[in-house]
Amino acid sequence: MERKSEFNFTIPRRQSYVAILIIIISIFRRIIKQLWPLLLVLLFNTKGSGSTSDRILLFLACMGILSGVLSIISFFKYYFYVDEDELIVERGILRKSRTSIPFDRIQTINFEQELVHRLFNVAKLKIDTAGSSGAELSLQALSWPMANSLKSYLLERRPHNVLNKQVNADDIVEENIDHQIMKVDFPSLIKIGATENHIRSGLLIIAFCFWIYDQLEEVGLRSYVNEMNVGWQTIASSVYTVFVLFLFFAILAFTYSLIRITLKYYDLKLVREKSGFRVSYGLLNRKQTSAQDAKIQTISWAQNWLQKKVGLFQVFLRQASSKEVRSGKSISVPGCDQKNVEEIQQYLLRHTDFIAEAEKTSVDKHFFWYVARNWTIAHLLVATFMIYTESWIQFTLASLFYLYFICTSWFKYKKKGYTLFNQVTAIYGGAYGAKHMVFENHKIQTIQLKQSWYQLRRNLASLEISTAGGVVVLPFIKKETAQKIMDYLLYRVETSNKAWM
Amino acid sequence: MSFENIQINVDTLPAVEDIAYLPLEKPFRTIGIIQTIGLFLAASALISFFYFNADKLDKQYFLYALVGLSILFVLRILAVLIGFKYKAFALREKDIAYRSGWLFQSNTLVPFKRVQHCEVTQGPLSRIFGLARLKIFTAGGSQSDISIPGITLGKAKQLKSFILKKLEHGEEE
Repeated sequence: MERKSEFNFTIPRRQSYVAILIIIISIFRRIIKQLWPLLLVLLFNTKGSGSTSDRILLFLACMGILSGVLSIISFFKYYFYVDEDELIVERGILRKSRTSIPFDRIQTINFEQELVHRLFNVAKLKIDTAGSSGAELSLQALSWPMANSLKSYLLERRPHNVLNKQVNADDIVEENIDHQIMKVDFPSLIKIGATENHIRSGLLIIAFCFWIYDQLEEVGLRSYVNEMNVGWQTIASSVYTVFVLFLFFAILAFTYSLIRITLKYYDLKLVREKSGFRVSYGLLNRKQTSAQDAKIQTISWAQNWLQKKVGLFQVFLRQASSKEVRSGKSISVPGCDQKNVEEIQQYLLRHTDFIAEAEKTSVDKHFFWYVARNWTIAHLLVATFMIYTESWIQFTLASLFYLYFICTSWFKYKKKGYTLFNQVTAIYGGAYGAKHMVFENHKIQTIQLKQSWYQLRRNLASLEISTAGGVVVLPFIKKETAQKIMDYLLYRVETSNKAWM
Repeated sequence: MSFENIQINVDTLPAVEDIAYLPLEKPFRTIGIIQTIGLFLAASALISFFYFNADKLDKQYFLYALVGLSILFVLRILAVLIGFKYKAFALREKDIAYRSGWLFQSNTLVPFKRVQHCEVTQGPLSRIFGLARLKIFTAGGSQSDISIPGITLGKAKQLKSFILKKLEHGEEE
C-alpha cells in the first residue's frame, strides 16, 4: 500500500492552530483540578471579606492569562520535521530544545481525540519509543489527514519492517486490506457494562466520597461537614436505613459501571491491519491504539463470574516497551466472544502448534494448602481474640471472609494449569471466572526457579518466566518437573533464531 | 518456508540440575560483615544518644529498641554467613546462571541472546577488597535481571566482554 504522501514532512511545520486552544484548556483544567475546593469557598463566601477573595480571584486570572500567553508563544516556537531517518521536534522560548527520534526506535504510534479534538477534527499523536530512556513524544494537535499520513510515513520508513517482511513473506499478500474482527454495538456495550466488577466500582465511589470529604475539611468547610457527619451517625443507627444505604450504593455502583463503560468503550472497533492490530474506542474522548505482531509479547483472555455466564471475554495484548511505560502498553479489548478470542489467537499464533485447553497439566495441591494454612493460622489467632472479647459480629464477619478466601484459593488451585507446546506455552487460571495466557517460547527473556522454605521441604518449586510484556508464574510444581520445563524452554529460546521483537 | 518438527527427548537436554556453580570470592563475606557492623554501630549510637537525652520514664523504651536491634544484628550476621554459601554463578555456552537465597532460594538463567546490556559496578568497600558486581539487564524487567556480586574486578570485566562478544556473534547468525 505505497501511498504517495500528500505532505512533505521534511519541511519544519507547526501543529494545527487548535493546539493553542487545547493547551489553554489543559492549563485551566489543571488549575481547577488543583484548586477546586478553594474556588468553591470563594464562590460561597460572597458576603464575607470581599477584598481578599477578590484579590485571590485577580491573582488566579493573572496566572491564567500569563500561562495562556506563554502557551501561545510556545506554540509558535514548536516545529516538527523529518530529517533523513529521524523525526525531529524543536521547541522552547528561551532555552531551545531539540528532540530527535530515529525511526527504528519507534514502537507504536497512537491517536487520541478528546472532545475538543473531535470538534475540530484534529488528533493527538503519541509516539512511544523503545529503550531504557522510555521517551514518549506527543504532538498535541494535527489535522486528521496529516496525522494519518505522518503515521504511515513513519511506519513505512521504519527499518524494522523490512526485517519483518523477510520472515513472514507469505503473509504480506493476504494482509493488505484491513479486516474488522469485532465491533461493539449498543446492546453489547450494555452487556459489558452490566457484567463489570461492580464491587470495584462501589469501592471507587466510596473512596471518592472520602476524598471529597477530606478536601472539604482541608479548605475549612468543616462546620458544614461536621453537621452532616452527625446526621450520618443517626441514620446509620437503624438496620433498615443501613439496608437502604447499601441498596443505594449498589445501584450507584451499577450505574457508574454502565456509564463508565459506555463513555470509554463506545463504538469500539478491533481491526486487523497489515501485520498488526488496531483498536479504537470512546464516546467523548476517542483513542486509537495499534500493536504490531512483532511487538506483542503475551496474549491473555479473561472473564469474571458474570462475564462467564454470558460468554464474554476481555482480551489483552501486551507489548514490549521500556520499563517506565510498561503498564500502559497493553491493548485491551472487552466484549469479545469465544470466536473473537480464537480469531485473534489465530492471527498471532497461526504458524505455531497452539491448541486452546489441550492437555492441561495441573499444579500441586500445596498451591492450595499453603494459602489455606496461612489463612487458617491468621483466622485462628483473630477468632480466639474475638471470642475472648465477645465481639460476635466481628467474629461472624471474619469467619465469612475466611470461608470466602478458602473457597477462592480452592477454585484458583482447581483452575490453575499449563501446557507446553513446541512453539508456545499456555497458562490457565482464574477463580470464579477465567484468566488465561499464552506466549511464544522464543519471546522468553529469563527463567527463574524459586523455592520458599515451605516448598523446599516438599520438593516443590515455582517457575517465574519473564517476557518483555510481564512475568508469568507457574506455581507449585514438582522440582524435577520445574527443572525439566526450564531445560526445555531454555532449549527453545537458545535454538530459535526468531527475533523476540 | 521449510518446516521442521523434530521430536525432542527432554531427558537428553542439557540439565539445569547438572550445572556446576562457582562460589563468590571470600572477601565478599567480610564486606557483608563489615557493612552490618557499621550499620549496627551507627544505629546503636543513635539510640544511645536518645537514651541519654530522654526522660527517666522513657528510657526503658530505648533499652527495648537496643535489644531488638541486637537480635536483628545477630540474624543479619547469620544471614550474611549462611547466605554466602548459597550465592553462586555459572557460565554455560549459551546462558549465564545465578542462584541465591537460603530460606527463599532462587535460580535465574539468562540466555546471552536476550541480554540488553551489561554493567560492572564497584562500591567503596568493594574497591578496597578489589571486588566488583556484574549487572546483566534484559528486556524482562528489573525483577528478572541478574546482579552477581563478589567477583574480582578482572573477572567481572572479563565476563562482561565475554557476554558482549556472544551478543555480537549471535546477531551475525
